Amino acid sequence: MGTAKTAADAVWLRVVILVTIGILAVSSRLFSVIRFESVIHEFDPWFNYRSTMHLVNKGFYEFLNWFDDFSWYPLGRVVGGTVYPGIMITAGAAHWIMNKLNFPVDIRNVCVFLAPFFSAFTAVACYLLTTEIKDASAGLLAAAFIGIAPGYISRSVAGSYDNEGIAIFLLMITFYCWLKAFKLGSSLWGGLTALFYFYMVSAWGGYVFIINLIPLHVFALLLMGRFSARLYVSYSTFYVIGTLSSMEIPFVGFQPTWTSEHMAALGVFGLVQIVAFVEMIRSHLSAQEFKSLFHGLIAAIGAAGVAGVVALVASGKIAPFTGRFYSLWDTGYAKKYIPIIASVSEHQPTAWPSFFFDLQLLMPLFPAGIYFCFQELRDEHVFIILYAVTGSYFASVMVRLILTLTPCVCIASAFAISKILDIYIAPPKDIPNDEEYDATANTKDKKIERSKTISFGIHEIDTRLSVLIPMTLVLVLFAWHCTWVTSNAYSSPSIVLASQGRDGSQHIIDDFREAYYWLRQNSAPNDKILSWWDYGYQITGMANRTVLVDNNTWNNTHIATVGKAMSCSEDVSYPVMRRHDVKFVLVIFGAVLGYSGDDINKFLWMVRIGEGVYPNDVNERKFFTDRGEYRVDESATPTMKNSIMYKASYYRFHELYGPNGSPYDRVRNQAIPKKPISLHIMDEAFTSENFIVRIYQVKDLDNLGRSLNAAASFGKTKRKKRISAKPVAVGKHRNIDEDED
Amino acid sequence: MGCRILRIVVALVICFVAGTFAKPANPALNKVLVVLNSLDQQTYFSRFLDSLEKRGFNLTIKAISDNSVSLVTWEELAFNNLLLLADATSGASFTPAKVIDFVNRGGNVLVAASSQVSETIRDIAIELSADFDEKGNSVFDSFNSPVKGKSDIISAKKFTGEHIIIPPTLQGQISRGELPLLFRGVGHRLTGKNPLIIPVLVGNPTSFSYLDSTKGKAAPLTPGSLVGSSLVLISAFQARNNARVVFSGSVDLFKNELAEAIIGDKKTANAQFASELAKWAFQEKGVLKVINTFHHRLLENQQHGSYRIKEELLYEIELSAYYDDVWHPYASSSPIQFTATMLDPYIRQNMTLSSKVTDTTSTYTLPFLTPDVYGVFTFQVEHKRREGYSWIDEKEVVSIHPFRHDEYPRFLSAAFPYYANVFSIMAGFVVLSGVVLYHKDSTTVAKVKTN
Repeated sequence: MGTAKTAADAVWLRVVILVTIGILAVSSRLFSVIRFESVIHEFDPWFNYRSTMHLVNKGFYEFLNWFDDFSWYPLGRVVGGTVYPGIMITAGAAHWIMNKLNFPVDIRNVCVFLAPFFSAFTAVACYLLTTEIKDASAGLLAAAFIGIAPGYISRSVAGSYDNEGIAIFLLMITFYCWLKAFKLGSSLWGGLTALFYFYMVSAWGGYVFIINLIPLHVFALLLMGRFSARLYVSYSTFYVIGTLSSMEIPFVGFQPTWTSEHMAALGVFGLVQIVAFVEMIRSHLSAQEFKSLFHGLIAAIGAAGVAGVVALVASGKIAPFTGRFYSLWDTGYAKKYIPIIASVSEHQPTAWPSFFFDLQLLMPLFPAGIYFCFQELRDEHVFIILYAVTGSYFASVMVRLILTLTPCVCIASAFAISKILDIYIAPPKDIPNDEEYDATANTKDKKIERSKTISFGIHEIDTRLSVLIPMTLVLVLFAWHCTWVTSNAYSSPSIVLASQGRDGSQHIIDDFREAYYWLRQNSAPNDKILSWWDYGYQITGMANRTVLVDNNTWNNTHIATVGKAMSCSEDVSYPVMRRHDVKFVLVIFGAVLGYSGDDINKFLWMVRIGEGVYPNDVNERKFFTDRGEYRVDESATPTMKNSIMYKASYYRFHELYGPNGSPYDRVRNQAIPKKPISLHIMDEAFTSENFIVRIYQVKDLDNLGRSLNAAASFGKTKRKKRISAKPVAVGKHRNIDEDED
Repeated sequence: MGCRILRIVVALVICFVAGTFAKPANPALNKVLVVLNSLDQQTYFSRFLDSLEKRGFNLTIKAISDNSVSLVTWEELAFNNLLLLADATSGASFTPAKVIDFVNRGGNVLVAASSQVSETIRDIAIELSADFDEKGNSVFDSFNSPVKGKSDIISAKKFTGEHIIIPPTLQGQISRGELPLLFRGVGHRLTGKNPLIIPVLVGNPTSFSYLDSTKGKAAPLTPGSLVGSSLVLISAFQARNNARVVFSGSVDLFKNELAEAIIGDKKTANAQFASELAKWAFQEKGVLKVINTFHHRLLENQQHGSYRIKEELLYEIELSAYYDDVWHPYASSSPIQFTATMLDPYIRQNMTLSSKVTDTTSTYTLPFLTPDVYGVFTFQVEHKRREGYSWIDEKEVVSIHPFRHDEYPRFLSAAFPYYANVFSIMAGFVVLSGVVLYHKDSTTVAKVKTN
């Protein structure tokens, strides 16, 4: 606190500013509630919401042992053991506390508003972390940035009730505790780090980032020769308590002892022990003795360690990396081997404009902040640099990991801006010598160099303004951009769509909820719904019906089965549907409205995933025309036209355009044939207002034992079979006789 | 008050009447629509129709040309049973579509044809996998033609399969020739492999179907012709919804003429045979019902919707069969199987008849161990034997969940060394802490090194 007494030094002011930032962060996430309503968004949040309801209604132990028979029919899903329960427990606890305090808040509202409130906490955590890196004024800037940065808002708007909503707060607070711990060498802070790490493990699979970044930091410090007892104490405390507690989460279980993702932390833990041991020996031995011992010891232990790990991996004791992890290194990996991962849009590699879309001003400032980190290069700066490097890499590999990069970008940018503002705002001092002395107190070697300058600071007001005015301007523009992005790109619940008329009036498209509500009211409670996995969580959540597959894509074969059912002809799909007791088939169809996220556009993924498991029944090539085009119009291939998905999508589509109209697909921009599509294994049951959701009821076996095709054509065509017209071989009769026995 | 008493009295009277005369498994389902070529044919069938009426059926007799009749009104059955004795003519009220709709809604049909078989009957039959020979063909059998001068009346003798439609005693009497069964009409064949239809009476080895005009003096030569046992005379169809349809190639079989005929010194079996056919068709026998299904843990007596893996369960199904005018305990001649399926059957075992028998019901049970695989299982008893009994298909979805967190053993004997390890370290830590905290080194003074 030797620098000029900036306004940020006043505690009350800092608190006021932080609270304001918190309010800002919460309120800028409420666009969706104001525009639409307090509703759970998208896909995964619906599952989280449903599990939270289960937790709240049935209690913790029932939640822990929850076997969900509404999803993955007929396999079911052991939810308690395959879920990160952090967010549900957080919401459940918030709900419980508020009810105990006689605020009877609906659990849905707790869920909807959880992420915005945690974003306020994130701002505080970010402030604390940046204060450790630089000072309070940089901290406040970082808090403001993280409060409004679209990269984070995209995952934490009201209604976006997902793991990331609380995970980013936990990431920041864990890192803050870690910096505190190794700075102070305190096992208390180390324990706190582990505690927050445990919370993080319970909340998000991204905890792997922490358990690799902190060891990486320790390792880097070791390489830089900055090992100290403080580091030893803090890391050992953190690793032991953190790992033991993380194993308490059923989904993680014994993974920290055998998966490759956790091996780095274990290795560094061992290394720290060795280094500490060596240090202890060194303090007891002479330099010469130590040198020979040291080399021998290091070589032996290093070789043994590497050999051990290789042997364990080779013998299968340590699991090789999972597919999702490989796809982080090789972006083409998933596309080649795991179409199920590649089919998720948020797993795609990031396009560069999205960095600027999500981070805008922070993007150019980010390298400047890292530069300043290099300039000072204290231990905590090493941490930020490592975070920046790894975070940038992952963010560029996978779109959704921009989220983990965002806090680091905010911190580094705040660092840079705060540096600039420090210089251009701080008034020149009358007694330059004293001031310099304080300012450079921690770097003694520079003191002599500095003492040559007589005056310090910027004297001319025009110089100040020429920097400060543009700076203010870009910051204002940044805030403007953030608000615009939040309002336009990230505040759509995606279960409710909105379109704007020419006069600017808003038109709500509520087809999804209409259809799910229809299912809820018109199907039997144990009916099974076949749909692509994207809609699984929403159907179980909103329609309260059993689905075959959902967004928890744990069983590729089962998803491939659904892909096969969707992409094969009626006669091939029917046995598959019967086997899975499917009662309704639900497809999303956007051609009427021009809704591009529909099933026909996702269809190739169904085909691909289906082909991966059933290459005899599904062949991707057959869905493309001879010229290699994916078409739905007249020139579509017969396989395409016969597929359940095509039929279910375009069934009676042409009738919408009247007898003289020309049916036109507004998504694919292709004309649809007017020839009526016939369906014999299912009946159209429901089509929503804008045709977005179409539901078909699968027929039972024919009551009279005919094939469904024959049953459907009964009364429409003339009887064909006749004794006189078609004599039957004698052998056929014998068959009948055999049948009777 | 008076009104109420009146109502009770009326109800009691109805019950009494129904109880005395009603014979179908469900007394309420006794409305029969009899359809004839024309109303004046009624007298031909008086014996058969009287026997039905005596058994409690409520007959409505209509000519097929009557367009005011509807089988289904307001989506509900107007009649429970349809006796289609109009062999030769068609009518707008009885199109194939209407009759099949009637069957799909649960109505029972007995269809009788003749060599003048109408297109309507042929169209109905073909949907149910029975293919009548064309109009103008009759069944002949030169070796079994008991009535002189009437070459188209044959004495049918051959039954197939084991079923309860015609009682075994009657079957024996007919096939031994003790009671001749006279048949005059058209044959049909069964198409494909529809498991829902079974032939009841087939042609003798010397029977064949050929043009009427030949009067049995010539035989068909084409390979696809209906001859011998591929020539089905009477078949019985039971739809998946347990509606029953009987196809008889001979409408004369139900007429007084053949029922009252004397062959040599023997009476014919026709009257008895026709009434047995009608009994089966109109659900007076061979009706099975599931009273109750029940599954529970072996040591409990309460049903749950969800069980744990590797648990001992008992599945019970209580069945009742209707014949001879009352419900009886059902003892199946073929094994009844229980299946637990999750995509594939994990358990498929024969159930055993338990000692729990009441006057009207019997219980089949199976103790089993739930599979060591969690998932949503379907407990199913599917009993579909072609014996003439109603189909049974009882399904229930039950989820089998893994162990709860507190169902694992708390302490493992194999892990005792580890427990010992943990507690010894804890003890050692306490001791060491005590030593470090309270040990006073009197000899040297520790130097505190500032770092």
